[in-house]
Amino acid sequence: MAKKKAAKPKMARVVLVRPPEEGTIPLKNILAAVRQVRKAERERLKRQQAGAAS
Amino acid sequence: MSRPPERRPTYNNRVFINCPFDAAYRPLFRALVFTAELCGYSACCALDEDDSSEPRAAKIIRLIEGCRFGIHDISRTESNAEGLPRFNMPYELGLFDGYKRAGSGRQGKKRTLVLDREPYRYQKFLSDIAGQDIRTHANDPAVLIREVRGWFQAQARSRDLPGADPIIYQYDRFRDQVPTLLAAVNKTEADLDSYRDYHNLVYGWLRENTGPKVPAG
Repeated sequence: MAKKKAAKPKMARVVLVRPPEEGTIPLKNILAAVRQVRKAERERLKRQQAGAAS
Repeated sequence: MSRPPERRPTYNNRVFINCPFDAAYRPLFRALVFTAELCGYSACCALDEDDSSEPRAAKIIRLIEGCRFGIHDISRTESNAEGLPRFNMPYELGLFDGYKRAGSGRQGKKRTLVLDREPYRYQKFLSDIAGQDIRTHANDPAVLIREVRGWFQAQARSRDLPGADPIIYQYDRFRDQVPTLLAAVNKTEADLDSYRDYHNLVYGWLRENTGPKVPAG
């Protein structure tokens, strides 16, 4: 029988509380920046995996 | 990507953070706010209020009235360069406790966590608080995250909160990304002295990084 892959540690379901007010940095700009960093992180991981596979 | 569910801030999910706001305490303060938000609470503190016409004590009282939970760090009460002790944190802890004991209705349901840096140190300068929930962080953000998360879990009862290890992992990721995030919005580390901006940065990061489909690490 194939060996089961070890499960990644999972985090319990997160429920966030929306902040009551905007700061000097608009929230939409913060969200755009976070998405941009996430995208760059995903692409870096893909490149790393492709490099390891080749 | 699927995002975590959201709630509006209410009395029952607001937590009053009573701590020093100096640069030396900043790593602990930031870890504390991050943990509160990730556990599903809205962190409020005196820095959040920017109406300079209102006396500070009135702002603090309004914040205390609006928060069911209070986290009070008394680890920095020693004398300053002029030889005078810092009384703000014990004063605000006393106000919070007074609301809990003398207040009616929902005020009586307040919950308090006291943080210090060493076990039993408080007995030498604030022994009247003996018997309350007092935990120590040893000036270490990871220890603080564990203690605060454990306390939130005790308050949340059946609601399953993220474990301390995933929170520490996520906090380290967040901290690593802060300089890049600030650069992307044309800001610098100094701009994060605005509590509202830090609060919103934590919220925005968690919203995009803790959805059900995002691995914990």
